[in-house]
Amino acid sequence: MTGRPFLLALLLLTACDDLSMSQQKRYDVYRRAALWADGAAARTPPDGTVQQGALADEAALADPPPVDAALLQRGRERYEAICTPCHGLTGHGDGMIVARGFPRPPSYHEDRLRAAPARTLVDVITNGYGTMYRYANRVEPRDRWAIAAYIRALQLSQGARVAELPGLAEKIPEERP
Amino acid sequence: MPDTSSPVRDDVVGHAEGPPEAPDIRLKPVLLTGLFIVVFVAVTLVALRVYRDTVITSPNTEPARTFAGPALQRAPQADLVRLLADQRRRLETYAWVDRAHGIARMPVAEAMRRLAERGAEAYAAPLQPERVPPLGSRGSAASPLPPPGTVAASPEEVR
Repeated sequence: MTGRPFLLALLLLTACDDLSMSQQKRYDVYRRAALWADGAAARTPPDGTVQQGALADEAALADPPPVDAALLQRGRERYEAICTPCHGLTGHGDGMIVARGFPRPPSYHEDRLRAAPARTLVDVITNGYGTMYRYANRVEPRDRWAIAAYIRALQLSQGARVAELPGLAEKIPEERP
Repeated sequence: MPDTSSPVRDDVVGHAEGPPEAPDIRLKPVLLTGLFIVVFVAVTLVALRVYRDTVITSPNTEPARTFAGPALQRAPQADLVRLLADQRRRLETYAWVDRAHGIARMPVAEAMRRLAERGAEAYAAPLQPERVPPLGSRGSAASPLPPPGTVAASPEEVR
């Protein structure tokens, strides 16, 4: 008969009175701790601690990749996937989120951002700006440069100076009066 | 033996038979009464109308207020498709943006091709000299590029 040993095992389990599992000798999060001088259980990393991969990311950010068709295409793909909801496909700051009431981001085609260095654009992607949060953990360093290069393409596309671009004037259709 | 020649008595007391009932009623009092009712109702309605228009100022007499509808998207997917289609059209067409200043737009693929040919200069800002925007700065009213929608799209836009 197997029911009797099973019942006996259940009875033995109920007899356990060891609280070492539920009351462990450890510090809870954000509790006081007499072990350290500052009296806090939460510790900060020691000076000089570096996150894994941070050095490679920093090096990639410091050295812009050369702009070619593949980098621009990568930038376009990342831009349309990540940036379009707020900045819009053309970079005028008229994405769908803005249409729903979110604060309007500045247009890439205003003087302030047409004169901004590409590194500033990369820094904004990395650290955020205003209501835009940081995308450092969402966009790889090389992709940030790719997006910055694509923003340059957007600025050229939406604000091309015809006199400086040979062959462009002939392709623009005449406006009807 | 009773006298059979006397008039017939039809009740126990033996009252004599009364005069015949008048053949018709008097119309004048009835008509006057009806006319009075009609006039009274009409005067009452007019008086109530005057009273409502001149004396009563309670909220019940205020005109019904209309409220703006909630800003909801009834068809968000259709809105997104429409928005992206308009933006993609601007992204892939040639058109004048500001002809007086010689500024036009061209397909971004063409811009990418021209930019790739610049090599290391591709990162350079289109507006020189480059200036790092001061922290907290936002927006600019001096941009020569009008925002989309302020310039009518050319019907001859080509790809």
